[in-house]
Amino acid sequence: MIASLARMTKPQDPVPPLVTLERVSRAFDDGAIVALRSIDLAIPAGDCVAILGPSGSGKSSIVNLLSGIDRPTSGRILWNGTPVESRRAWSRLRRDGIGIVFQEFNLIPTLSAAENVEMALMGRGVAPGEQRARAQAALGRVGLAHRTRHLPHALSGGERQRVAIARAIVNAPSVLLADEPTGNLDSANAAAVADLLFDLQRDTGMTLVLVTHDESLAARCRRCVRVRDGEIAEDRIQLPALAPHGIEAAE
Amino acid sequence: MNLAGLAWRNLRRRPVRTALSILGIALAVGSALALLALSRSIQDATRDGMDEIGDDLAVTQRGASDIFGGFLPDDLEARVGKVAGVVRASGELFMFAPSERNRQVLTLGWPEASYLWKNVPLREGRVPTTGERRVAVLGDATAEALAKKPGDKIELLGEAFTVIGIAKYKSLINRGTVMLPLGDLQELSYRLNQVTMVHVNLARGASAAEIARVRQDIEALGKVTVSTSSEALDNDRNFKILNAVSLAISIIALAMGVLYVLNSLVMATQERTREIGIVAAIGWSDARIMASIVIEGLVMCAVGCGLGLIFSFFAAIAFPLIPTIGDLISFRPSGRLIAATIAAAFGLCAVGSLYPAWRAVQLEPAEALRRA
Repeated sequence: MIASLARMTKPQDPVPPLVTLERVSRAFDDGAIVALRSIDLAIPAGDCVAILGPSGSGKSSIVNLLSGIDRPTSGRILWNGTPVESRRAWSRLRRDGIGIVFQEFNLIPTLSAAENVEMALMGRGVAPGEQRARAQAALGRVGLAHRTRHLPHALSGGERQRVAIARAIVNAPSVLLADEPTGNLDSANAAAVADLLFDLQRDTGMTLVLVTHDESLAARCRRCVRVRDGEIAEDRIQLPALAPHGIEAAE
Repeated sequence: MNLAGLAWRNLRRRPVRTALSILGIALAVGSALALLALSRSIQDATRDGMDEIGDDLAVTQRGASDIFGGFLPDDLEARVGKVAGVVRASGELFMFAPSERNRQVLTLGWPEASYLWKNVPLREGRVPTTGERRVAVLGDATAEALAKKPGDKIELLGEAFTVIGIAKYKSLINRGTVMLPLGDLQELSYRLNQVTMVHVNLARGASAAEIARVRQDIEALGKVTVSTSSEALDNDRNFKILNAVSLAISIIALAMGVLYVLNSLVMATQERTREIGIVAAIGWSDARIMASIVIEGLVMCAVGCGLGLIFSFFAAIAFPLIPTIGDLISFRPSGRLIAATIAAAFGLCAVGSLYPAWRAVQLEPAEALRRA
């Protein structure tokens, strides 16, 4: 038990990292604003990581860089040990292996819930019939099987975020990056969306990286990375992983 | 959902702008088609006219810039007629001559013994008899336009002629002619002993080798060019200029149509920057994003081409009903011309859509998402 707790407090894991940030910095306005200062971060496959910090600390920049929707000013990012640099390589990674959920939902307002989900499948060239079936299944998985034809404006905030989650998981990604997924939701919807994310992580074994400023939400993740002023202030394992998909089984 | 369906959905989001852009393309394609068809039709109508008269070969002055611009001695007709393989030959002097109601009419002068008189498809009246002067046979369109019937007088080149017959040709060019005895036209136009062209008929079923030999033999008679009606018109400088001008104007019209598409798509991609960021964030490649925008341009182009085609056919029907236009020209876009114009429109639209498509993928997705 003591040995297990000792392991839980160390961020290093024996499993090779799925994604690694190496001395990554990100600055804006020609260096006037520094969002990240030479950070190092390795996330193993199947882990559940909270990136916690106040507004403006740089935590969203980490998610943007992990997904390749933004580029570092310096440093490099490796997926499965391989540096990823070109736009094309990043697009392929996002298409095949990364699901992203945003605080602002980022649904296309003129498309129905199902069509928004289908957009992620169009990126892979999936046939329209199969797109529809898989989108329906993903929406069913997030509890929205009855709202597939609704446009985003006809959905509640919680439902919109569920559609965004369905879109993120429809391609069965190996990692789900969620940037303040409950930030725009009331407490009831926030709890439901959080439950959904953790259930998905537990059921599928996908890696979950959750950006939040909510301590209670971060406490539900196995690992917590605290970011302050663009630097990693703390990186600790706080919970054992769950079997069978976890990094290590709880004793 | 596929890219074309998505493009259509996006176009429907801004119906007025889309409709105006499509209208721009439609007018451009319609104008280009009508203009090109018109210039081709004038040439085709002239060729039909020559073919209807029954030409196998036409002899013109070597080096003449156009079919109206060269002159030959009228005794050439007899010399051509003696060439082995030539069944018959006839000189012809032609020009646009001033007539009544401020009109210029295409006036043909034929020798009194010419076989061309025998081939006139008379609707009423007769052709000139030997030695008869100051008489005219009118094409039915000319007769109708000038309200003439046999027995009436018609003024040509400042002289009065008696209408003795009305011809019912099929080709538009011949329907708009006036036929006179050659001597009258030579005298009034100061072209004594001159003709513009010698028409030649060959024996039926003449082989290509035989035709080539006849051409060589006729060309050996003097500084003349022997050609088929198509060759004569293809080398005509006036038709070359007409075709070049109509092609240039058509390209300008199509380019303007493409500018509508480009403008519409530039605005659309600026408005949808965030959405472009979203699809990039969910894994769409740059190529797919660009394809989605180019397809939007092509969907507009397809609808615009369809409308433009309708416009051009409407013009083809309506223009001949307008008296001052219909007397002179008629046109109908051919399948080949439609295919070429639509292919050009699609090519230009695709190129025109590439710029907004390229612009759309210049931002990093995170930056695009920040631009709400």
